[in-house]
Amino acid sequence: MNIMLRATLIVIVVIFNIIVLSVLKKKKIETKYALLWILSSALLLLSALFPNMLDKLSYILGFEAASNMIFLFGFFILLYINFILTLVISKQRKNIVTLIQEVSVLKYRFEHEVEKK
Amino acid sequence: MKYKVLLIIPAYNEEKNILRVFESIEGKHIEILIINDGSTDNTRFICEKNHIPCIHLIHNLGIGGAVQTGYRYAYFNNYDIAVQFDGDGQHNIEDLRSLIDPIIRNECDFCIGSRFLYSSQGGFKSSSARRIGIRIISKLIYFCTKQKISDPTSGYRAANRKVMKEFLDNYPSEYPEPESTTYLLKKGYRVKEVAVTMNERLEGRSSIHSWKNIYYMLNVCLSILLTSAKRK
Repeated sequence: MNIMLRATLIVIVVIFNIIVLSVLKKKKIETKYALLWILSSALLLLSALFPNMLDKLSYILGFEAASNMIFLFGFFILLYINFILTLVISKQRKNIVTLIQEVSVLKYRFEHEVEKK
Repeated sequence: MKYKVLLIIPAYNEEKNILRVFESIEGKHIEILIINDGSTDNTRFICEKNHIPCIHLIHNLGIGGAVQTGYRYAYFNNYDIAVQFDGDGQHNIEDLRSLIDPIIRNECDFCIGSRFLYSSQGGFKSSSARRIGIRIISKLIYFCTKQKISDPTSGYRAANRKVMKEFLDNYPSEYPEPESTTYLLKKGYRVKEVAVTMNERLEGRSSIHSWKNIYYMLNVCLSILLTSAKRK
């Protein structure tokens, strides 16, 4: 694996982790999602630190270059994470709809009670 | 036994129609509840000024979410029958009796007001393009459930308590009518159609307008297929 790619990967992973940790500190992200990103970027870091291992693996799996393997796996991991996120969003939407309905009904009944008195 | 019936009227920006609809129902001893789906016009003001019972959703939910609010309210306030009624003047209150009678006689759990039954006399039957769409949906529902629903997009529908409860958790948000009917049929509920007369809407646009028609058909057909595949 070429030295430029390794350096770039390491720099990006470090910057990315700093960002993740800082939003985690400000409590803008749940710990479980922060861990998801930290662990998946750790994989990237490992591959940048031990390129020989990576080269061997990509050779065994039949990739022309290690970078191809990284991009392919990275793509799949991101696809998976995105899919999970849309599941989470859909579930939250359902919860929010129920919440809006319940609150609106409560508001209606509350205003009605006040009117009666 | 006296039945508690609630008329659920979803309204989104219906300031021009809502008062007329309300006046057509007023004085007939029918309980009504308008669901104002976060309208941005004067719907809220008109309802408050005329003392029309109205739940104002704190955020726009779309037609499905609005109607579901009505079912939720009806279910938790012990209504025996909940009837959906359009807020744009398309439906006639005179048909209400024939819509709820089959439920009172326990002939069905869910009753749909249809424009296309043999006995539906006159009235507005929608544009020819839309009738073709409706026929395709009807055929698809027949294919999936072996039950003939002549007017699957009708928004004039009456439900008993069992169906209301079913709708609390399962009511589609976008184009709810055909999918929810398929869902009920698949779950084994008894669905019946009665003939009603509809009017052409007087003001405002239907929630389904021309450029959305293809998307509408795709969405509805996919929903019907998936709903009927989900449980066998």
